[in-house]
Amino acid sequence: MRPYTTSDTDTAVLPLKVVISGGFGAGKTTFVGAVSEIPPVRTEEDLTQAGVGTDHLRGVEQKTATTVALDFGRITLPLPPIRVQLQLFGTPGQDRFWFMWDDLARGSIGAIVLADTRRLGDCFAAVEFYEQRGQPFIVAVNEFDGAHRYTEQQIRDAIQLSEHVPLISCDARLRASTRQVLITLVRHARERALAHASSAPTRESQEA
Amino acid sequence: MTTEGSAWRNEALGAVRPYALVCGRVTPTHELARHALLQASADPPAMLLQPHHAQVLDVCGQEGPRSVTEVAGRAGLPLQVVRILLSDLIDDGYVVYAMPVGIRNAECDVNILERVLAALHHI
Repeated sequence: MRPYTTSDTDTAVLPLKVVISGGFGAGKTTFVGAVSEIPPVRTEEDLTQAGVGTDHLRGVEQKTATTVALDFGRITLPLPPIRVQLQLFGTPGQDRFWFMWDDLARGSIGAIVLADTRRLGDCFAAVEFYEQRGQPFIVAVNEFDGAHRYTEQQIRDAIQLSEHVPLISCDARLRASTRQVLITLVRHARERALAHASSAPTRESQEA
Repeated sequence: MTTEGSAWRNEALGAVRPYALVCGRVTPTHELARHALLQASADPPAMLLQPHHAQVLDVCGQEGPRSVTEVAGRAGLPLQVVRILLSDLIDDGYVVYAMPVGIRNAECDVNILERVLAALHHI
């Protein structure tokens, strides 16, 4: 944990991570693309670099499983005298990528779990992960055309979402809508931070 | 006798090849978290760089600081390979960190989150 050094405070930018998680096809790439100030950048990572044990590689027949792609986007915000770079990491929602979730979650503001009502089960793993980690997260239902609309309570029941976790609907293609999702997450994270600051850490261990 | 799919034709090599760019090294000298922000030094040494180092430096250098993740994506190289190349560039003075010193746990700092929230309303 060596502190970073910088050459010039005028150009210093504070990075803040936000994780966009969700099942395959839930709209992560679209979401990142809609709100990012740059077209999403796709990064490839080797599974091997995370020290995946041999038992994880055993039975993984297809070659595609050796790398995992991640979508990166960013939003630069002025916070005089510095700037903040809000970094959006769109990450695969399958739980076999748990090692990456852990690394991404560490030091992040929180996560947006994108849900598709046609495949709600795809977001279970992510919801469970962030719940257990005690990390701020929200669930955003991406309203696909033609998908059945459920009530908020129906969705909460279906994914067994605690009432403390914000649930909102969005259109991942629209900038205004994705911005609103980000605002909801940051507001939730701020409330959590406030509660944390004013209460003893014993509340942490409270079981859901 | 040679057969297709014999031990010589190792499919797994495809995933290993980028590491040849970094002479088989797998551990970077700097930790370089995915989110760490870097930029090209304003005062770089006047030495000739290897093509892949030059490529990565080029990606760092254009405008404003870029994250390790973004550099990897733009260079089209795996993250860990880019970490090693960036470490070399930092060690040799071509690339510098571009983050404010002394701000810790910003992600759960009420004041910072409040200001981020306000700023988000204006994008």
